[in-house]
Amino acid sequence: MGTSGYQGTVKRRLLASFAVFAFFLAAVLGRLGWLQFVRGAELQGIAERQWNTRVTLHPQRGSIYSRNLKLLAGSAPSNSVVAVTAGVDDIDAAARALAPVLGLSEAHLRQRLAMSTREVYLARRVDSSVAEAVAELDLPGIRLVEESKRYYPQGNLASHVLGFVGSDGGLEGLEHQYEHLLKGTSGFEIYRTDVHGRQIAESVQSSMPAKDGYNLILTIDEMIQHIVERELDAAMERFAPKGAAVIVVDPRTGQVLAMASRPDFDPENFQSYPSSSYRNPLVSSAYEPGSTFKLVTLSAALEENLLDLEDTYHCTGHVEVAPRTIRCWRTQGHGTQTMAEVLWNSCNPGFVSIGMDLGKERMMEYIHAFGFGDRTGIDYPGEHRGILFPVDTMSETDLAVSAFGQGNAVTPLQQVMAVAAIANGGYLMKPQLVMEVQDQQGNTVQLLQPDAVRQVLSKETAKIMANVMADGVEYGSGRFAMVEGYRVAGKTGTAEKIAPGGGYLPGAYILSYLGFAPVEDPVVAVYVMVDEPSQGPNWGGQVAGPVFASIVAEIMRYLNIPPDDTVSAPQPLEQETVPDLTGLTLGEAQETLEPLGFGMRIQGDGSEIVAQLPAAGSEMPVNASIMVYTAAVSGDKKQVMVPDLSGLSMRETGDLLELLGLEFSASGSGVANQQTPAPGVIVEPGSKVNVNFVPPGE
Amino acid sequence: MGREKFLRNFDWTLLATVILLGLFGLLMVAASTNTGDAELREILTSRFVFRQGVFLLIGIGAMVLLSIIDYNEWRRFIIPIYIFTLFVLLLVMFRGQSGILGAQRWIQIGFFSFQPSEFAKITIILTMAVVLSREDFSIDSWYNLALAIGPAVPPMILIFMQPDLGTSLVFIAITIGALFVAGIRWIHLGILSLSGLIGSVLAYLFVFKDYQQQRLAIFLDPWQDLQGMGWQIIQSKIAVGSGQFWGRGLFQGTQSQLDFLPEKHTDFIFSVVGEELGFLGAMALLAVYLFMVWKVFQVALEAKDLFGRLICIGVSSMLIFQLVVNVGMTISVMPVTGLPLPLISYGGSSLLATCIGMGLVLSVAAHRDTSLF
Repeated sequence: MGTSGYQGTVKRRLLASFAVFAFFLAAVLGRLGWLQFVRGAELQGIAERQWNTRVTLHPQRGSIYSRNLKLLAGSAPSNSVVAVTAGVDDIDAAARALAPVLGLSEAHLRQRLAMSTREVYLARRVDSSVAEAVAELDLPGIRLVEESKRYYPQGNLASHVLGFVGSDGGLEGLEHQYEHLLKGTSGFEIYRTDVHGRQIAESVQSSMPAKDGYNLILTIDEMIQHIVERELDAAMERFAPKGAAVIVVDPRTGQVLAMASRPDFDPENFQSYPSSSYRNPLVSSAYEPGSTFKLVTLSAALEENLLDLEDTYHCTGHVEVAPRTIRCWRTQGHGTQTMAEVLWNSCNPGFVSIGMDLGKERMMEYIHAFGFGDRTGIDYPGEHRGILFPVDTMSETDLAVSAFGQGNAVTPLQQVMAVAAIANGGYLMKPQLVMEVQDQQGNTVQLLQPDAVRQVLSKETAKIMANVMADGVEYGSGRFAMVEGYRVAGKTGTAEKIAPGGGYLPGAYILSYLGFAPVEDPVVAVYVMVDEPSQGPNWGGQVAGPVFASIVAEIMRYLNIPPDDTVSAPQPLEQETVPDLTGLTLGEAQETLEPLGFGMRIQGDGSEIVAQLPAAGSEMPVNASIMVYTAAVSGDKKQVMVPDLSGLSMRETGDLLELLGLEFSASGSGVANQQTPAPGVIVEPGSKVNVNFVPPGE
Repeated sequence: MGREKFLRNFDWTLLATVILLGLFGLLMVAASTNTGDAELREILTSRFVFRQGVFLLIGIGAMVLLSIIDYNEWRRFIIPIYIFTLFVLLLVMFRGQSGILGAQRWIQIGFFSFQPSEFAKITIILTMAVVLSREDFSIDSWYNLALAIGPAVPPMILIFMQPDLGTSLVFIAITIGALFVAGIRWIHLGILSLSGLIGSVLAYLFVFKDYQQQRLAIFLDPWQDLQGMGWQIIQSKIAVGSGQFWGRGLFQGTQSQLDFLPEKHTDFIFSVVGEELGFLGAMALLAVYLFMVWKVFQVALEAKDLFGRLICIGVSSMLIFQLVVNVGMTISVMPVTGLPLPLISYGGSSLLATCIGMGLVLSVAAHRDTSLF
């Protein structure tokens, strides 16, 4: 190879080498372009995701105030311990350090820290001392995040209204219903971390502050709520029932002024109470209302002009509605009564007759019109709609029992709203618990206006109903609910509990009282319910009535409603001592009683009084009647006429029979309804009278 | 040769290009060690930049000194140089310091630890140039070919056993470059390439250590080892890609600043260039490299003898191979081999060895026969 030729080869190969290099470089450049142009944005996104750490900023939950702006539920800032898993470089060390501080097991913490989620909550809403201790440890990847902690400064007050908050939001009551308004919106903060999860100073990339939740201002009046809760506690003590509940609404607006139930709970420590105590029967339970439902039947008949209150009805103690015979609670019947008396006496056959006159369609139409069978639309969770007879399949018997409050299941809330409609000139209102929604600065976000559902009765009918109810309190079965200085409308109710398998549970009653006050210009409608009292009287009027009366009296005072002097009649009367009438003739007894103001009711056809009830020496209101028993054969005390015991309590029966010198054998419980021998039979002294007691009607 | 003639022939442009790249490297070392908290950051940056700066000054000094000395002087010392190199490589093998993955690559001299394999590359460049440029030598026979390749084999094996696969591959690149320019016959080149290919497969199967096999496997599928070696491949790709066209700005790259990118001031410094300076910066750097290599080839073309040309082709082969493999590694087209980016990556030995190589090239340029023009 010649030198020049060889030189040429070298130079050519040098150039070729350079060309190869240039080719490689071009390839590299191409690849760079691919990564940096085509895939640039995607790869940059990956980069950002791996160095940006996002933490959630928790809003403060909105507060709940009473209408008097008393705080019922508030939120205090507290810290939760969160692990940003990518930042925890030594799980074992972190678990070891945190276990004693958080009071959790190391194994549990290790397992939590090893989770693949980005953020793991190790402990929520810890005490400030724990938070400080965690901050002091300064472990990589372990952060404190502010979360609000719920507290209830009034303790158990209105616990069913408020409900409670679990770790993930409101679980019951208004806390649940208004979760979307109370909870606020979470914010976030994105900051840079290096590969070890350490936050880079001043590296917040973007953040959105948490938006705190809205405050609720309730229609609940804190004072009325206090009154109600106190009276409920007293009733629980006195009657030892399974439960008791009261709801107070303003009939003009449908605003709920108080709502309470027993058993209750402390919303702050709700976990320590059985979940059965969370239930609010006023809204969530439907049962046969009993006699309170007679108000619906009577107002329907009045509205339809089917009767006047002066019309009469003759009660024989039972009525035939094929294929059944419906008995009046008073076995021997009420005799001839006006329609007003039918209501006061709570006479079942009377109402059957009214119901039959109304007919199925109109009966059910009014029941629906009063809001039964539909949710009232209260802003409260878990409302029961009730169960009514379907109008097209209901039988005559169904109609008959519906007329006096059986067969249909309704909620206490529906009942109080129905009676509120009577109080409110016939307008049915939609019940509401929240009056206003405010932001944290106190600006109104939403005002919830009262909402009339429909007019059920004419103003006139409503007025008549109010008055006849009020008279019932004064003269009729509602007398235990009389309130000093105020004219009160009311009706007792005794609902029998339905056994799970059908039929009624023997001896299981829900005793209720439903009414409003003052009659002329009602400001409150109140429903009182006592569930299966285990001691004391067992009759709706005697149990729920006084609770109703105490609550109404206190509310009237609190609301500064002036007492109505023109209706002082129902005030508790002067008391007088009952004189001893035994041995007197009927004429003599009459002369003795008249000046004292007592009336006299006579049993037996003798002329000499052998026993009396109440006994001599007891204090009685002056307009009360004294029952006297005369011997069958005057002068011959060896023979005694068996008295009519029906409607007497067991104690009264015992007292009376002892006075008459008769033996007493009881069966059942409640009030006397059947007896052998029958009233009027002449027996030897010392004879045994078998009396069967049944749970009271009205 | 007169001083005047030397100054006229001296390739100032090439010297300036080398210094420019060295200074750019200094900047990138500063950018890529700029991590951690503020105080620590300053210490780290100043220590790394200072050390690299010292080596750059020494390198420039060595380069200028070598350019003054006629490169033909080295022919006489080639045997002692070669033997000394082998001796130091053996020393590393038995007395060296362990680095990453148990590899023994460094040897302590005074305050600095050196990486003899870097300097061994220069020795082989010179050795091959000496052998191939002998008047009576021609590589048209297998025997002569073996004679030419022979000296490169012992240091290559020693370095492969350190183990440092990347650097040992640089020797192959240098050898091929020198043989090619020296006029190896195509048939020989073909057979050598084929046997090299078969040899690599056999080496992969029987000689390579587990981690070396893994590196190649992970290169093909980095996601299989996210926490380990796949991590740096993926993070480097993310870094380069997220630079996009303009880059995130010097000292602004999150991949490097937030420590996501491992080995970022040494092997993966090009990822930092890509991330912080974008396509524009990366392209500019590659353009300067292309220009520098072109200058080296120009020197080769104008050199007065074959020895000078072979020095140039040796040096440029080394540069080209390291550049392509290193940059290719950061953009996932080459496996991770741990080769530094010449003049840019942090590391005294590599910087100094590159400067020495460039000094030799400058000497070839300065001592060319001007009568050719």
